[in-house]
Amino acid sequence: MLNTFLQMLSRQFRLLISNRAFSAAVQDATSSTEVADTRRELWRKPESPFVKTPQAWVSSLETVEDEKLGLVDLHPDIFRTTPRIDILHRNLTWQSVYRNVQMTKMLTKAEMPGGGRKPWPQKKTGRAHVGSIRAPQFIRGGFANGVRGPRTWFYMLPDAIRIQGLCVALTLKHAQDDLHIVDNIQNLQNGDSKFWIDLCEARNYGYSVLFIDDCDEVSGGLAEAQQALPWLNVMPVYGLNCFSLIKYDTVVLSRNALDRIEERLLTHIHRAGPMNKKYKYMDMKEKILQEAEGEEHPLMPPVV
Amino acid sequence: MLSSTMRCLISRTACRSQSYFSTSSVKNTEKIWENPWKHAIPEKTKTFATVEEVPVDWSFVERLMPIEVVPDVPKHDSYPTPSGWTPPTAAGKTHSYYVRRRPDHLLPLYLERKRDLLNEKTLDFDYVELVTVRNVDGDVFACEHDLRTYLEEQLGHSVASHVDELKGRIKVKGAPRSLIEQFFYSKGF
Repeated sequence: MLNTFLQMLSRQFRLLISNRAFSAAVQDATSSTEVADTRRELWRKPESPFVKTPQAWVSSLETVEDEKLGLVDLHPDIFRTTPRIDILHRNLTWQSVYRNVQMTKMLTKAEMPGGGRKPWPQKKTGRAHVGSIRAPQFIRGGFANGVRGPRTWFYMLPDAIRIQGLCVALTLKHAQDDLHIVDNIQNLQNGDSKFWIDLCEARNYGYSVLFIDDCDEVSGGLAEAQQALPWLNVMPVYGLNCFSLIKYDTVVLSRNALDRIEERLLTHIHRAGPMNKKYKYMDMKEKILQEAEGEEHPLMPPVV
Repeated sequence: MLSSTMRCLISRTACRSQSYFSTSSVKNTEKIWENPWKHAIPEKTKTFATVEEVPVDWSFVERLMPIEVVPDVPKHDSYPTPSGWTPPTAAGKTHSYYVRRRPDHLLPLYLERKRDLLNEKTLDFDYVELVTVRNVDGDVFACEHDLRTYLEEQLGHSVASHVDELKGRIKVKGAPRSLIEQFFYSKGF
């Protein structure tokens, strides 16, 4: 017990020392080419003197220990926005609600089978006046004010809210030190799950990790690891959403993904024309109908 | 009668080189159910036309294409421009607050018309016009104080205002938007 505790202590101490050494090394090397490489020109950086440019370390996934390759500037419009929790909440609610469909349909008395005949005469039987055995007051009768599905809760959030929601989620992740940048996540050498567990443990990644890359196909070590480990997941840039950003403890962006995310979000922030675009069925009709054009179901052959 | 004509048609088409009704699959010994993928989708034969590229000056057409991203402001000879627009100046960065421009280079001033109380004499609802200033960085309360003193000096009556510090917004009641715009231009935002 005490032994393990001592081991942990020593490890923490070593980590602290190594981190300090690394930071010192990077500070020394700010003028060298390797670090200067990661600095970049930010497109339409806000001119406000109160906005500071956030920065993040770029590290590599090849080693267990967090080896820092340099610093990268993040765009303040995306990674340093006002933490609007209300906007984030609207996005999360929308994501959970818009796909809900209620398929329950309770049958009315007209839709129940039978019941066309008057069960007994109107008068002189001493019983209630009834026209059908499927009337709503009967057990096994139809429902008078039942649930009449299918009912949908679909709605679209305005574009501006969705864009701002993503910015807020990324800002929060960065502010809470849960956003990490790595140089590359494709074709990594080591796919051993023990290696990845150690890596996430050593870097304090937390309970679950989401890796985001520019390319929608991942190969190499990370692909094997995410097959084996359920708490480790990979996502392309176009799948980025508020729910996943909040769900995973740590979000790891590749360098290409960072560029792509900034490019896409900034083009939408600086988009010409109105932000509240109308989504009409007629505009989407062709796309929706052609959606399954190239799809082949692996089990069900087409009807000839 | 119908069947006999059909049979005639089939016998007539059968003697042709190509089958009339179906694709090449009928001739083969392969059954349809052995490879349903092949028969579900009609065979596509592509005929590509020969393409020749002609050098055309597309710049005039490109000028007509819709603009995707708000372009940078062109250089003007003198400010304010005939429309009254002025770019932000260096003087704007000296204050304890800063108002960022909108993506389309205008000041973030939004006019809002809200229903007020019922007017008991005319039995009509009164309306108030609120002006919202967005994107205020730094000390929002100082901004609101400066704005209010300027407006009260100009208008000669008191002006109501409300500050939302988290969102960086100021709401002003009882002042025209043009006057507020004038204040922010004079401050260099």
